[in-house]
Amino acid sequence: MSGEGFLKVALVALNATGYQSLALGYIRAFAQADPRLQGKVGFTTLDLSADLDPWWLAYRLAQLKPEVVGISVMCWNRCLVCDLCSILRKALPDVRIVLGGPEVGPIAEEVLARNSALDVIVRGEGEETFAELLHAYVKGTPVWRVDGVTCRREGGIVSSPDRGLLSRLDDVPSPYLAGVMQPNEGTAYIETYRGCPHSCGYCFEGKGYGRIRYFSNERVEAEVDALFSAGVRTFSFIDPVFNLTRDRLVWLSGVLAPYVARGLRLHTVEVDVEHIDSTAAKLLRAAGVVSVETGPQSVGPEALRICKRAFDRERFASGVAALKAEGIAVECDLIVGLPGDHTSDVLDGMRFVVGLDPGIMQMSTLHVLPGTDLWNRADELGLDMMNELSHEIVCSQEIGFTDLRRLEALGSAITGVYRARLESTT
Amino acid sequence: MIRFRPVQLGVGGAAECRLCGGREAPSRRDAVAVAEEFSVLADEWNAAPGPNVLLCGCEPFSHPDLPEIVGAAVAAGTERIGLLTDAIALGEADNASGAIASGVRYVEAILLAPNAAEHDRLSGIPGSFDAAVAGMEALVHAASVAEEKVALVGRVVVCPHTLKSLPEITLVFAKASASAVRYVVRKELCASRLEWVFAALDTAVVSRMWGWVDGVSLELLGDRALHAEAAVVVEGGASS
Ligand code: SF4
Repeated sequence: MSGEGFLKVALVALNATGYQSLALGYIRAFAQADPRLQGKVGFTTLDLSADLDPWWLAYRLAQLKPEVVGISVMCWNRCLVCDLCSILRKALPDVRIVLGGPEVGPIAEEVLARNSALDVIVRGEGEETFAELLHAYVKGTPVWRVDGVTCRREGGIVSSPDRGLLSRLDDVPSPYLAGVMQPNEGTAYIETYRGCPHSCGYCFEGKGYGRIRYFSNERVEAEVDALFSAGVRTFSFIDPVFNLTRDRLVWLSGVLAPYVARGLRLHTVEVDVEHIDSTAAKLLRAAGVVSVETGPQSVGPEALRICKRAFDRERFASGVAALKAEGIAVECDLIVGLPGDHTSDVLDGMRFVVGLDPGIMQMSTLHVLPGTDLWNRADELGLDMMNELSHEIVCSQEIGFTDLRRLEALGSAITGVYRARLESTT
Repeated sequence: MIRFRPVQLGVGGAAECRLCGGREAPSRRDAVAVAEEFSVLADEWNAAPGPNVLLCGCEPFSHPDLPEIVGAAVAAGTERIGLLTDAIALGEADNASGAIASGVRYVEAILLAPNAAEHDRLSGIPGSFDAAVAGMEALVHAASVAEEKVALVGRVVVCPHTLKSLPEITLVFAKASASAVRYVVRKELCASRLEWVFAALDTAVVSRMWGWVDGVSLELLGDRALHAEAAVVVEGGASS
């Protein structure tokens, strides 16, 4: 498009089954609210599941005849997105393919160099950059002048300067209230802040978003009220740590409690379990929380040191006990293959979690995510990943390939036996 | 790793091949006595998760009071109720769905060979292999229909007659959607013949199951030492 016409944009997210993409909702809501784009850009969102066939996805996109396709790339869909883009490039030769998300942003130049089907990668927080990019397309100005993108220029690949983080999160409209996202089967996502006070080596959250920024209390309260009034009865809070501070937990609990009395429930919020005592557990229950997700990810001292994670067995166990006493199910997660962990540490972690009897236990093999501390130190730490597309580790310095596969099989058998039980009626 | 306490329903079950294991004449324990054991066990249970019991000793489905026994285990607050079984009766009538409905959440199924001819010869029961496979399938199907999580684990007593079939038996369990296989190695089995056990353990892993070995020292397991780690520990062992 030269700058005069109407730009058709298709936004694509490919989620784990049953999930939706809040990120895509934000991107669209922000761009739609930009007065410079109103009347000049039309959006279609395909918020689909990651088990779909790339040919079928390309077919659906081709029917939309978009000029820009924006795709959110996460660790679980990167291979599918790669196939989809290759097909799209041939099927729609003139379409601009724009990727964003934590899986591509931190390694944007590498991804563009590897995949000739791609035009632009949005790095970092996407709302403002994507809107600016669309504005450049509408005006016909050079894309490489937009801060926060990596793109092709004169046969090469260039990166513009990083874009600063949004200073006011409230500038991003609620996708639900803007009407660009519908609650799925009575469930809606809520985000009250971005960033994380911790900086776990395998996680992008603390590093990628830097300092913590909050949506205003008024904005959160309005969103909760509007969604509840629209019939939503289950919220999924995506905050990295729901009990970020005691004051905040008290506030959230107070906001949610009136709705809880009328049927609202919160499923699987992430908590820092070592900061949960019986008072905090009661606040969580009052907030309608029925299940939480937490670590320890590892109990091995060396892995915890490398990953910059604190872990205190007693505090962890007492947090789990406090939650269980309030009838809140706890999902304890372990990561297999963290650098520093030997097989004995992984077994120790399994025994620790089984002994806590948390309700749910989950084990997964380490994926070294781009942009994380472990990604940057992979060679130094001896982490061997599968290939440039799948970042699952093949082996670590401490655990060889075969023992890693054995630990996966053992973990899967134990979680299977653990969850096969009668719920206590006493 | 997850502890189960064996509760004997009687004697005379068929975990081993009949060429090796001497069979006791089957007999059943009184259901009231078994129920009392559940209560004591629940009171004594001192480490999470649990209490968990494995009903064994005789073939559980041959006990006329099995529904009452499972009911008593539920009433005593047992969290995981398991059966050590030849799996034959699981495929009969609505035994699988009935067991799940009454509270069974763990089944350890015994196989002696990977095919009907050999298994039936070793069990001495014509048709027992096909029935066992059908029984395991019935269990998995019933769990899915009932939307209940039920763990299926295979069990083989490793003796000279089962040894060379271990990898293939493992595949039969994998096909039946078992999550793990327990290999109970008889003491008299010579250390030099463990290659077949190792092959079975490797078969389990590549079939996405865990395989663990009872009765072999860590030293003998060598670089497969991890396979000494039991997904399910039956305290004091379980006979059938
Ligand atoms: S793993 Fe959790 S606590 Fe650690 S940095 Fe990520 S979001 Fe924060």
